[in-house]
Amino acid sequence: MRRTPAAVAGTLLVALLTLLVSGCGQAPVRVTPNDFALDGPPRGHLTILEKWADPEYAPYFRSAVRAYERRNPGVTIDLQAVGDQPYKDRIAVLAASREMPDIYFAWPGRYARKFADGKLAADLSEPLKDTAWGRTFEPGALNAFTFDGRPYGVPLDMDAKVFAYNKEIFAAAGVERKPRTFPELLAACDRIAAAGHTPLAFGNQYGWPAGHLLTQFNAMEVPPAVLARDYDGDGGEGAFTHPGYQRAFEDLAQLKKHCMGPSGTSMSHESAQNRLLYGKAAMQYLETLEFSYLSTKGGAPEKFAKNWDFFTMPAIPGAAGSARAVAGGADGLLVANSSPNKALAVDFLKFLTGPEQARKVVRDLGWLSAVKGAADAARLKGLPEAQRTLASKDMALWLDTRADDKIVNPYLSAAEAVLGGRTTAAQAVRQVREGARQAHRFRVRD
Amino acid sequence: MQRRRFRHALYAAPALALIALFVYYPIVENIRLSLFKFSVFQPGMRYVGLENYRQALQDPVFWKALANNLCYAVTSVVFQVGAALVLAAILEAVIGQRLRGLLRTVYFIPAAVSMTVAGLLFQFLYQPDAGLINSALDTLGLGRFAHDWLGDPDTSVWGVINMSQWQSFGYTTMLLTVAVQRIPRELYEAATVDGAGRIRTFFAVTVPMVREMTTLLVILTVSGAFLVFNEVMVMTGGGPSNSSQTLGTWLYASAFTGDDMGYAAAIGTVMFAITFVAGAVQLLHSRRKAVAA
Repeated sequence: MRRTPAAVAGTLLVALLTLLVSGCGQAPVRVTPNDFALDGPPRGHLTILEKWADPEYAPYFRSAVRAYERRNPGVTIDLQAVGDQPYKDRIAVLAASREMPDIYFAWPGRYARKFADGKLAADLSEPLKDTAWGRTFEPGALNAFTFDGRPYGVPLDMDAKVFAYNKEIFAAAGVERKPRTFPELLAACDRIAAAGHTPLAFGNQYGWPAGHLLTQFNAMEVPPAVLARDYDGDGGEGAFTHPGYQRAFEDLAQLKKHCMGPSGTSMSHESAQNRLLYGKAAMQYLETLEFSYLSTKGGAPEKFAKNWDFFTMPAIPGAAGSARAVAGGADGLLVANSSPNKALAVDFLKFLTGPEQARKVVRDLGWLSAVKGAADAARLKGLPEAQRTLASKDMALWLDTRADDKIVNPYLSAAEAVLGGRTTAAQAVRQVREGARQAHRFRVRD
Repeated sequence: MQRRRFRHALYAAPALALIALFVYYPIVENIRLSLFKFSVFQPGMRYVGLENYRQALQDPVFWKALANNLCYAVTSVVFQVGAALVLAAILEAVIGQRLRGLLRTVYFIPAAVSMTVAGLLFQFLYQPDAGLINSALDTLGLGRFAHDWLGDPDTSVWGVINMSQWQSFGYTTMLLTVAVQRIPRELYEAATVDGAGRIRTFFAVTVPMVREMTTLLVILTVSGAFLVFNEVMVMTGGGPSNSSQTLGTWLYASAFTGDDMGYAAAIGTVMFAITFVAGAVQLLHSRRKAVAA
């Protein structure tokens, strides 16, 4: 056979490709021993990746890192912060390459569980379970990162969805008290609309605001055990058949009909918030983390900053779920299972969630802390009351981080269709059920 | 001779190796991964054969995304190649040398604007309450046509497509103007002597003489239409109700939101196959025509 240069080059190319293809595959997960005891004063290097890159949040984390480094001269920390979506992308790439930072962020529920199930997060039972440090956290916040009885994450803040409202517009429309039932809320919306205002500012451009409303409605309309099974994707063919799911979509449609303006689908949540701040709308369903934006320091006009209050989603008569449910969650930090510095990582997290820093989180960032007793540092209007309110509620974790990945897209898509008036509640549930069926059939994991 | 050829091959080897590593290896690896189910968060991969492709066939969002890409491709070819060629010919015939420099600059400006900025700009234009389009319709007494352009599943993808056409139309017109300018004047003079009108001259002289450029633009616009991603993410995120998803955004959502990497790889393979076939067909077609000519 005559060997031409082209044949030689072709053979080399094929050989190279074969070599590369045969040599690749997912790298094994590296696991270091769970040794959380520091051997002497803290020393070493930590890498941290989190998602608080916003200018109003980032300085706090930088200052906390500097404070820890000053206190422990033998420690250096590489802190990297990126936005929400870039964080999801980057941590996925790092997880795929098994190169996890020592400490990294996770949303609660199933999102965090993926790291635990994949052995990418360290089991923090030893430092957290039934220990003095573990007992400093609000139980609901710690539970959001506890799977099969083992804590895998350290909660930093708590967050919940409430209706912030303009007291002046409510009074002008003759709505004299905070609605105590869902029908009362709808009636209040009708009165506000009749008075010439948009009752509820709603911007659903990216889908998640509707997901938050459904988180709330599902938790109120569906018994918790059924909800947990279906969100986990364990319901099989019978998933999402409880009538409460349809009622939840009907609640959403009612809220749209009575309370929302016509153009929520293409408006961002932030644009909608401006409508609340500048008196164009009477209410917005927002997170307690956003309370800082309702202050003059956060950019709100003084007229509004002095005249707002909030209430949680009022009870839905005859609903089969939890009347105490409030949509929310806790943001947490996990320790990489592959970290060679687990003890140092835990020591840093103890510092970050210690009384001093926890009070700073409340005071400087205007967040609810996951650490008990930190709320009294609150200077932000509404925050102490929010902390008290949450103490009497059950946290319903965000649908988009709680439910199986394959269910989230059909759910949010169905919610958008209901809000657009293109789908009935019954059709929306069928769409979700089909999504769950597909998820079950084409399951990524066995 | 043989030795010199071998030396040539040796010189080309580093470039070949780089191309193999950064172009062909990812393609082959993507095809291989499309035969597995796996999560980046979980160890191990499960071989499922063609299951991911079967999943795509049964996934209504995949079909919606493919249809959107097709709409995008057809619109792009019509506007960015067809209409741009007509405009280039008209401008060259009517305006000629006088405003050439100014027009090139004017055409090129939209292409120089970043996709993200253009997307945000059009979002403002499409705003249902205070956007320029609805305000203009109101002012003209056509308020009944005012619409939530990006919020309505029927119009959302067209809102994105329009933005892309605005951004690329001037650029392709500019390229075609350059191609038209390179046509020998004698051919137009001969056509005039033969009594051909403007339209006949356009089809008999201009169109065949700019075939190389139009072929290139068709390949680029069709491939670009199947790879579209940024503008959709900026303007609609694929919504509402997945109505503006494209294969690129659905791939991304499947990979990074759905954590279904094998399925995302299968979508990637489909995109590769479509763009590869479209490019190959165009190239073969143009080569055949060139040989025939």
